[in-house]
Amino acid sequence: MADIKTIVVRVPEIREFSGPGCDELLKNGAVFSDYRDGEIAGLSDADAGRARAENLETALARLKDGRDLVLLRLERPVFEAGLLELLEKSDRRTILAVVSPDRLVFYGFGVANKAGVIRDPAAAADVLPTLAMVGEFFLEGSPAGRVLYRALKNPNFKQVQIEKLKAALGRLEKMLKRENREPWDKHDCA
Amino acid sequence: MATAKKVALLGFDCAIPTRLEALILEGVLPNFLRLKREGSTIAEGYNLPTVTPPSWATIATGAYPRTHGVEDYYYYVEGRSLEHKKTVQGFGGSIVRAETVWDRWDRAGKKCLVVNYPMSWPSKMKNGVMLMGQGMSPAEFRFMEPGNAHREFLAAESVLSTEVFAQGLRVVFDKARGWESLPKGGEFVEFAADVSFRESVWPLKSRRWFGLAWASGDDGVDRFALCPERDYDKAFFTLEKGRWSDPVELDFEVAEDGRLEKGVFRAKLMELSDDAETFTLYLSGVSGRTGFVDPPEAAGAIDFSGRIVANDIGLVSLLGGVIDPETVVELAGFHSDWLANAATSLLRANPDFDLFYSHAHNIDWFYHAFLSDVESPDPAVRARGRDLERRIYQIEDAYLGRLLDALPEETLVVVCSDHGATAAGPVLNTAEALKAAGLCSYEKKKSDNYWDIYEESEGFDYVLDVGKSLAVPQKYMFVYVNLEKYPGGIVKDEDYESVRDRIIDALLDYRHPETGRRPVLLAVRKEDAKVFGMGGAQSGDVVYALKPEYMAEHGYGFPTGATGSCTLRNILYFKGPNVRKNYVYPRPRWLADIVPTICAATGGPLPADVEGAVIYQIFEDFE
Repeated sequence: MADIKTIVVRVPEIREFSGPGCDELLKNGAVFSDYRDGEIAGLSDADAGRARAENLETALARLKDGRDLVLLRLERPVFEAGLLELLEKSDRRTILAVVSPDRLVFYGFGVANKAGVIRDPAAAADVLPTLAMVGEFFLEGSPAGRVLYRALKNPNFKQVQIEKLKAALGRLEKMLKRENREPWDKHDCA
Repeated sequence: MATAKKVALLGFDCAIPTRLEALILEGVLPNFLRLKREGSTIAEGYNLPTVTPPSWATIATGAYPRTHGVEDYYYYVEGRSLEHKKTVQGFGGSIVRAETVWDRWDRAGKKCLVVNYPMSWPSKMKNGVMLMGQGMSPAEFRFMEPGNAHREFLAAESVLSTEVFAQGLRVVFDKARGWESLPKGGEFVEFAADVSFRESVWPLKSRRWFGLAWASGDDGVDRFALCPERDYDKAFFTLEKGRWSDPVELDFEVAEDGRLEKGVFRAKLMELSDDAETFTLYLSGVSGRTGFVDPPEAAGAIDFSGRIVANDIGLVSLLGGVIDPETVVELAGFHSDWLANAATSLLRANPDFDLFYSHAHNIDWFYHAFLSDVESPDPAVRARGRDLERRIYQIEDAYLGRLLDALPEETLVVVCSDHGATAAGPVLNTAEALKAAGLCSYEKKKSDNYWDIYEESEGFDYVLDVGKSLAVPQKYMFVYVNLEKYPGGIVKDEDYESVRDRIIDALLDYRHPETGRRPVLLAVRKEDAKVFGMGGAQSGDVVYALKPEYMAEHGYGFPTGATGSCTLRNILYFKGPNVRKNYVYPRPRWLADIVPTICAATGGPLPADVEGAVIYQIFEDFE
């Protein structure tokens, strides 16, 4: 069960839409306006197959179950309402990449939500490598895309998580050591 | 000589005379200074072993450990294997085989108040009042518990955190939904946690509590509230990072029979990041108000509301990385306040008391965590350690002041510690010393499982195979000959003396691998240990002591041991009617001398097994 969930949503051109979902996405997401769309590569066929959700309801159910990665397409008629529902129902530890022909938007957990519009060029191949810096899914092979660091709140997120885990392990080992002292070891009268 | 009408013994576990004196000279301990000026000081106070349970048993009985039967922090249970891990903690009155002074005075119709005294509970008194002392904290149960285990009235400390702690519950914040009466602010996030209560004498039902965090301004999440339901109006408290809550009083349900027990706890928000990704809330133990006072109705004199016991002043949470040194000092203040309130309330409610015995443990806990800092060669570390030390002693000085103010003028006041301490040095692995002489099987575990081996813990990684060992080190100062009478024993009776001789030779000959020098000061047969008060039923076949530079704070060496500015001696002061003022008694005395001196000063009856002597020279009318 993933602690951090990732969802990639393919949508129509965002500039054609307005509404609370779009407004929230563009206000609090990291928006790459110079975006070249294409195939989103980086997963094995099997992983991509497992990740694909046929509709929003399925996608939300999988996120609730703790699936690490979900791929979803939202078509024009359901885009705004679907996006709004997705934003409302995904929890705090979900990172979202909204991929449209005209722009790429990252939103949610680990995203620099005050980044606003970023004019650095971005490509479809960059989506999964960027998401993998925060998410818990595995990339396949050596993806050609770049990590779009400016989308991320903390480019060292994974290292911070590793340090936290090391610290936690150290604490647990210390307590384990305390419970297994030999009589000549330091004691603490507690 | 018998002029005092009452006696009050106030114990301060591990108060080190040299450190206390240094702080008195700094001018920061007015009540300890008062003791010195208005009373008599015993400059060389000794007891052996330098460990909590045997020492407090001696202070209570006037008998040596060989007589009262408690010779270590741990206690060997007859019939078990000699392996140290099979011993239990040596607390409580049931294992003390000598008569205590309060039992003797109670038999004589006197009224005794015994408050948080480690070797006291359960009470056998008809006239007196006892507040549970069966460990180091009040309202704590350690009798027959193994290792470090203990149980509390009502529950031990814990932690709610986004991080992983051994004694905690991990929580994860999500968007806050369905709340009533939200406060002003934004970015509301929540968690729901099934909080269970650990180490309870009466296991308690868990409670579902809700955490709410939010941004009160523009700088991210900075407030946290803990609530019994999703209604902010019902919050137990609201905190900013680094702040303590006020005491929270609740009813806690006992799992077995559903009854409700009132308990008090406090919380401190140790960490809250501006995105609520990192959060740690320390929860103090839950302090109850029933079950630990005898007779129960005597508890009615104590207002338990608004105070927490703060068992072990958070030492385990400090070791576990939950809290910081500043929080330890704050918890020491809470602990001291609880104890002072309980003690002074009982004194006020029982003005006809004849004897008052109490003990406080803050200083010992502090030293176990920070003595190496106090003695550090690094000036900055030493300065920080000594600042903490000063604050702890000031707390104890204030506690002393409250008790002195509550005691009538005609009281003989005795202030003592059970032992001192020295900073930890290279540790002697006794099993390795015995193994080097072919006496003991002590081998690394054989396992390919990472979680079976922890590189730094001998106790976890090594196995002492009793079935292959002629000698078994047990408790702090003992080695047993593994006779066939013990489970797993392999030594025949006729080989006892030869094995014992080999043990003594092995200990004395062993050179420490880190220093190349011999760490053992003394190793004798148990019968020879009678000379210094040990060698009783709980003694191993060989009794040994370490040089002070090879020990871990206290427990393994002679009370004459000293390193740096520390000593293993104990403090001992007398103040009261007919006691010489501003007098320093220059020669060594033993803790066993306290009871006979008290009895001489008051005319009170001597307990049946008393062995110490009266310290005559502290009395004004001696000459």
